[in-house]
Amino acid sequence: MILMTLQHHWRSGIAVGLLSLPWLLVLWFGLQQLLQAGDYVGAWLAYPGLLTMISYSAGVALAILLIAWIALLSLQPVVATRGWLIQIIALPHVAFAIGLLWLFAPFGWLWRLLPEVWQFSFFDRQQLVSFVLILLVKEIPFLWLMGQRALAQIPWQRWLLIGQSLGHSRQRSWWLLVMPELLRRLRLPLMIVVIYSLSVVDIALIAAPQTPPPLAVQVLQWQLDTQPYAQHFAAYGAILLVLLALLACLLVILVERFTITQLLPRWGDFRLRFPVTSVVRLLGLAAAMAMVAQSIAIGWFYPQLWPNDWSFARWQAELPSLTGLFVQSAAIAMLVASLSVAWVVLLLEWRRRKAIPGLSGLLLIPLLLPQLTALLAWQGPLGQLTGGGAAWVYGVAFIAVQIPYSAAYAYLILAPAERRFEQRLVTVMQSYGYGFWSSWWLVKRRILQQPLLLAWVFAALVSMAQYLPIILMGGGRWPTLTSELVAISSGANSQLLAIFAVSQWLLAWLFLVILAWPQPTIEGEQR
Amino acid sequence: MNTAHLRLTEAQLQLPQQSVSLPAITLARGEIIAVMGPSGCGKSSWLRWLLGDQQNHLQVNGQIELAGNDLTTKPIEQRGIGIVWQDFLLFPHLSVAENLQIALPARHRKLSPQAQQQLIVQRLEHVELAALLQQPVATLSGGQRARIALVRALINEPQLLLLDEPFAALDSNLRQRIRDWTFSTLSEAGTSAIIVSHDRNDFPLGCSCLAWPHGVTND
Amino acid sequence: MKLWLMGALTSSLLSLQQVYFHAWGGSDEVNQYLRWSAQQLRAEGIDLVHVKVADISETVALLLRENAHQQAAGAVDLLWLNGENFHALKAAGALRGELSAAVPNSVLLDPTLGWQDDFGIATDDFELPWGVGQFHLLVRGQQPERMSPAQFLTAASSNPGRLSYPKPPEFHGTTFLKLLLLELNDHHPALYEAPKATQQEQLLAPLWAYLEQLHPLLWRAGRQFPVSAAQQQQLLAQGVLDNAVSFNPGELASAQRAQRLPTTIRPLLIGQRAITNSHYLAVPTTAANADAALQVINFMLSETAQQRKQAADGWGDTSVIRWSNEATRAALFPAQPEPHVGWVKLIEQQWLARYQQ
Repeated sequence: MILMTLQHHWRSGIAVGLLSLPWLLVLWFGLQQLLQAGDYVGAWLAYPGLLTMISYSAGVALAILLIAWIALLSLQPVVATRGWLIQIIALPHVAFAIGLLWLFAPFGWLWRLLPEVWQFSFFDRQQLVSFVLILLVKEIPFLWLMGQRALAQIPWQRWLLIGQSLGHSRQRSWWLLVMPELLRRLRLPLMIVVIYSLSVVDIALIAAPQTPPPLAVQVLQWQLDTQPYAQHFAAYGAILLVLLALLACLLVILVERFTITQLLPRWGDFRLRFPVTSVVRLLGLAAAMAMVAQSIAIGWFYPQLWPNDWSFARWQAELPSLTGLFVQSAAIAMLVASLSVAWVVLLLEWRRRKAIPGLSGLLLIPLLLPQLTALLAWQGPLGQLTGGGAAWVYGVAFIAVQIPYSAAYAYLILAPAERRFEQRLVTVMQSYGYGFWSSWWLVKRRILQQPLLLAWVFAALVSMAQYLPIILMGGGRWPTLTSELVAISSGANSQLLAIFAVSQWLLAWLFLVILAWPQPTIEGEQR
Repeated sequence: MNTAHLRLTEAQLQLPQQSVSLPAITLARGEIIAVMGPSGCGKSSWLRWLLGDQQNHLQVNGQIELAGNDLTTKPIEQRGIGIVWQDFLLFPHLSVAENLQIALPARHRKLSPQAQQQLIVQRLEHVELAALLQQPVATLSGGQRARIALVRALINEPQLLLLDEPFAALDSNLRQRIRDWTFSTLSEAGTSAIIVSHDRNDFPLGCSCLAWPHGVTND
Repeated sequence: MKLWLMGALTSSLLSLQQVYFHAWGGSDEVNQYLRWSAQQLRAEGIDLVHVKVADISETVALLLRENAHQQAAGAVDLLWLNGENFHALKAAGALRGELSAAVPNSVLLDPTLGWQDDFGIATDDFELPWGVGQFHLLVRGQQPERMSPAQFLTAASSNPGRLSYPKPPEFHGTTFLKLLLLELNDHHPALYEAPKATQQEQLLAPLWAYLEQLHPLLWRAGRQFPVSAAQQQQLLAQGVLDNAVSFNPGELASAQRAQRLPTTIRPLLIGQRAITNSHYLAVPTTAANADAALQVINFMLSETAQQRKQAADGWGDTSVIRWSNEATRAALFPAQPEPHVGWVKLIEQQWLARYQQ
């Protein structure tokens, strides 16, 4: 008995060790930065525009939180829709932002169609409103998808019947019975969306104000600055970002509590419709079309409505290298996704046997911390192992550093479904003489197939979007569509950028096709 | 020479709220023992301990010996103990036939699919349930589920079967019928069993009965 | 482009020596040129792998970390850099020295081009020049070839909201400010020396006074600026702006040929001369394939490679070597030397303090 107990402790010990080691390294790195000779706090506080940067970041996060929350409350009409959500989620962020700005901003393509008196510029480059709008169009489909997943796990239709049998209208039953549970379940996704809006750099560089920029952009710029003070400024900024993120999480909880206890009980017979459900879809598709058009357009200058020429020549020229990159990116993403999902599954099974202290927190840290901070902290020990080694050694290193990022999303999607799983089904299989993992494979995998696949696809998409690990940990040995896309997007060639963006979109889309395979719904997931 | 099939030493159950001292229990092959007591006093936890399912909240010291083997530290899959719970837990993603097929004992798993199918059909015909063969389990009634669950547990030929409140989920007319059917099926199969229930009607006539001891509240 | 599986296969078959070259990957013309170089180098038994980065300071951050950990061997064999990034790596001792001794073709370098100083810091043989950059504006429409700062202000006021410059400390933006500082002070000799406290205010005042007038006439009334030269070029192509900036005198021609910029764009100098500096190649001390990397530099400084680089139908980047036939050199703007690096720090800091609040 004692032996068994030890065995359990051993598992959760390994889990906590492996999960916290990377972050202890980051903490150590951060402490070094903070404790190094020289007090830079005063100089940092006096940095021009610091207050504006903070207010931009906080304002954007707050706006996103409130609008995303309304979008969640208006989930009802979106329950049935399916296909288009994932297509928008699959769009590469940067290309999506560039596409939207190119369509709608002043001098953009649609702007050119408007008669002069209608031309207005509320949606412009380097403007807070456009930054918030682009983030929303990109993130709300993610929230809706998470909402659909959450609904799949609760017998909400029965709850509505119960509500109606108690004399409430169907709509009021939705507010009273279904929505509170839904909000509780969507707490984490909402936090992630808000934190993402705090920490996003690539979209911010294109769409947000730059004089000064939002805090996250400035943190990255400090990190890349070679001045002696800059690394300290970056460390302070990163800490401030983490604090803002924690504050945002707290706010999410407060808003949720307020909604459940104060708002929902008073709401009557009305349906909340997010006014722009179809607008979101339209914008996503328009941005995608804009990208496709740009990838074959030659010479498209203001005020021309159409380019000088259309041509596939550039596609043809890039095709040999694109094909290789496509295969390599797909292989890396699939490997990272499989390892991440396997790791999360292992942790969840271990948690069944013995609680793993702080599991959720440890797994979700990557979503809270600026990635460059973490990568530079890991670079020390990992660099000793990879330095100048064979390409596969670098491969192992950058795959290892991608896993925390992919695993965070895999956990987010898988954990709620796993928590509701009837584990005794596995026990029954074991009692027939099957080992634990073959029981798992024959029963649990089959019943949790949908969330497992979704977790895998998201883990793959997250891996596919990584740039810094490819450069810093992969040492450039393993280029991907994304690493090339990010490099190209630092230049001025919009056609080449569009070609890579469309290719990346195609790859993401391929992953999502896996989800669209018809699968029988299994009653076990909904208990 | 010892003829006991199952031998449990005296055992001490440490539950979160209380601790329970169980007497030593022996069971001959084919014998059924009833364990009776109110809900929520550790009976189910004890059964899962017998099954080998490790649980955080429970600590038990005691030894299990079944068919001459010491099982105390063996994992579930090596114990040869089957279980039927009150919610039956048929695999929802499988049909009735597949539920039985997956439970076939290891020595039958290498048979051809046709041979396996034949075994299953025979077993279902024997209990007059062959009509359910290709049904998805979602469409079964409560009584059908109860019977398929027992057939599934027995087709695995366990050395010992645990039944945890096996009739509690059934309505009262059905209950008596399923009860009788279960006891006759069990005795026909010659399987040793432990039935745990809070209802004294749930036990076959003439079986030995153990009243679940009162627990001592932990300080 | 190199994919590991294919690359490893061919490299091991032909026993090629790999050189991982970290270089900005935002320019199609540069990328094409490096593809061409890789093909040429194959004959020398070298597999040149262009690691495309969005900003070379990512690589510099990596090298500084490797250096701080005293790592024996690293991922980078060769990198393309200048300015601040060079200063930091040189100061950290992260670069291999005595390059010219190891690169035979360095004797071809033209010493009159002023590459011995990189943004005010001596190169000291820790990097070798690869090409020459000359700062100029790209402007829409019929404009004179040169403008004084005053004329530029007039141009801005006759068409408000159409001009801008990249936000300092982005180096194109900083260069624009340096140029204004020199022009507005009539190239005061003190600007070429370390700034003295007594002169700072006096010499910087004309610059800030000028910007006070200029900014309200710029794009977004001078409250927002493009983040990079590349972004500004896109805004120029999209019709948002009427100007962009460039360090490559050959860039306009290649961009117009690729129909990346409209044909109505012309180059423009502010003042009479163009601020001229070089961009360089360097080998980190941690390079695993240092010898092959040096061989690559040697190739890059050869006549063949330099000629191809400055060809008008390619990258169009100005060469750094003396030509056996002097007519081969591409025409340059008259060169304007840099102000002292101390002034640069001052204008960057004060610009942020004034315009970023």
